[in-house]
Amino acid sequence: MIYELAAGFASALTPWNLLMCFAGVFAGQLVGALPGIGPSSAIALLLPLTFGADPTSAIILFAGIYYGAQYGGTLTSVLISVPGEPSSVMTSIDGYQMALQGKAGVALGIAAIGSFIAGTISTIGLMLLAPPMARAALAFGPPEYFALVVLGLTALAAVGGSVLKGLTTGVFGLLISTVGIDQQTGVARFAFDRLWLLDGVGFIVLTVAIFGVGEVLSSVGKPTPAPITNVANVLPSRAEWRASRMPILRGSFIGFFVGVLPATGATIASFIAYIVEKKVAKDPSRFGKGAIEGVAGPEASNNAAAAGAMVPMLALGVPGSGTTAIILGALIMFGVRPGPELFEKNSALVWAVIASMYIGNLMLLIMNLPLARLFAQLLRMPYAWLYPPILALCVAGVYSQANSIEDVWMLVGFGALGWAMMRYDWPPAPLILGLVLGTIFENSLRQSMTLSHGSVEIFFTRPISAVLLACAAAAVLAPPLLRMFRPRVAAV
Amino acid sequence: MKLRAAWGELCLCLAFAGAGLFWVAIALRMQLWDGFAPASGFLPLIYGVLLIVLAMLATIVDVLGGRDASAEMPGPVGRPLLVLAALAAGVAGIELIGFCASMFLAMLFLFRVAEKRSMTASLATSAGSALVLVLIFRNWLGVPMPVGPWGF
Repeated sequence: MIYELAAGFASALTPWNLLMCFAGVFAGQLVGALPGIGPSSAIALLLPLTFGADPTSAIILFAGIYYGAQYGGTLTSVLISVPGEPSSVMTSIDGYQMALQGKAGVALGIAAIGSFIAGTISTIGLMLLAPPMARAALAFGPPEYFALVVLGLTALAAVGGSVLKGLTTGVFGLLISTVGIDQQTGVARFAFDRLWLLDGVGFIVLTVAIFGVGEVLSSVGKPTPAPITNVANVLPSRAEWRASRMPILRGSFIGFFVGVLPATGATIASFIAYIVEKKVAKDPSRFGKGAIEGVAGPEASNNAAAAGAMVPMLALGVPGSGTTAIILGALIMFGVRPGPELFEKNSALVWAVIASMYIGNLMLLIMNLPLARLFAQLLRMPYAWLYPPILALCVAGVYSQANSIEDVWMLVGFGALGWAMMRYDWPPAPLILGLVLGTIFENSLRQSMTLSHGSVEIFFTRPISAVLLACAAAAVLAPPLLRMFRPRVAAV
Repeated sequence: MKLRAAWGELCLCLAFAGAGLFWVAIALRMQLWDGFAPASGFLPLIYGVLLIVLAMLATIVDVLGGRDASAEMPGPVGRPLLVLAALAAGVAGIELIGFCASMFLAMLFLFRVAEKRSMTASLATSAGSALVLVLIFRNWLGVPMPVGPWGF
């Protein structure tokens, strides 16, 4: 492992990859702070620019955007009480109260330090946990891959508010994945004699449409609250640091282990960290009124969860969040198959990305402490100046992929669909994942059925496949069952 | 307001169900099974049926069951539709007047008409953005972006 990590650092420390890492964390910070654009949109917009580029550099860039945005979201939580990301909701409770008390700088400072510590701890966890998990999963055959895809789709569907809506969009993604030539039989499906449909609906087209155009349309016209831009003294005092260090440590471990579990992610991690801090506090009544532990714990946990979510994504090919679903799609676009074979066949890429996460976390800390005030000023930027060039970038990016105007028309159509989905809280991430995993799903089903001579028992008699399918069933059934029993529990 | 939100969601559910129905209709004309394994039409058929069932269930749960009273109601649709129309017009213009001019006009419309920004700032930002995109995609990445009758 030490040798692989050293090789990873050698790759990550090349000038180009270092630049990509810096560009990623900086862009992540920006998109986390700017209104109406998140890490998913940013990665979607950059996908066409990285098409044909070195996969290692591109994934370093995307990973940087992912964990950089976790901190960027903190700025909006603390300064305008509007979480940039759902995982920053808990930070906004005490962070904004601290800002109102003139302690915005300290809140941002402790968030930066906590994010650095949590990011480093969780990257160590990723390094220790992902390779053995991938090794254990090397025994996977077609039925296990089939079950993994089912688990990935159901787990991601369960992350959003409504499992039913998540499943619907996931199945819609699978449905779209059947457009084009069937790779095993050579039959053209749903192409309607159109040459441009024979290659199917492109991952870039759908991702840019949903997370680029759809996000713009759903953000247009929303008012942006005026920020508190008085950010001073970002370094915490000795007493503030003493109050924060244990919440940061607890948040790091909670975040990492919650992030590793499919169907959880950074949002749930930050909720749990906040509740834990409130439970262990000597005076819980301070929470909600500007308690620094209420910022330190959730911030550490949501950053740790970002690295934790990379564990199942890299080792099993099961993403735990919308952004990791897009990174997974990007890996497949580059011809790299995430999952058990990744650490064997593409170990140089994986270890370079892991090494870049150590470097990126350090960059974030160095950048955030002195530049917190500068990033706070970004919140004043009106969205009206941002979205027209974003739309033009979406058009250029999608056109550049295949020089196809039809792709651009699909961008408009799916963009409208993405807007409608976001408007009525239909989660878009399962749709992307369905498209990305559709081919693997179909191939592994066919191979499994051929192995079993047409019997579906193969999925339930092989232990790993059975366990994965049971987890998938639990991911679907648990939320409605919990909702059903909650009133009775509350009544007791 | 409540009724309008429910109608929008109903339309979305029906669109998903309609897509499912369409897939089922086409898949039924394909070969479904070949030896021990599914053929080309099998999974599209299953996806179509699943989509219809799930969309109908979502309709029942979210529309007939009523929305959560505490849920935030979606905002007006006028502005997003105007932006969508500008984007569609911009795309339609790409092959007629070229990428650069078409995107410039679409951005200018959005800045000036949709966002009511000053003419000078709108012109400068639109021209600057269009130029940067052309420099990145045509000059740097070598993408043959469509050009208009005047060569750009």
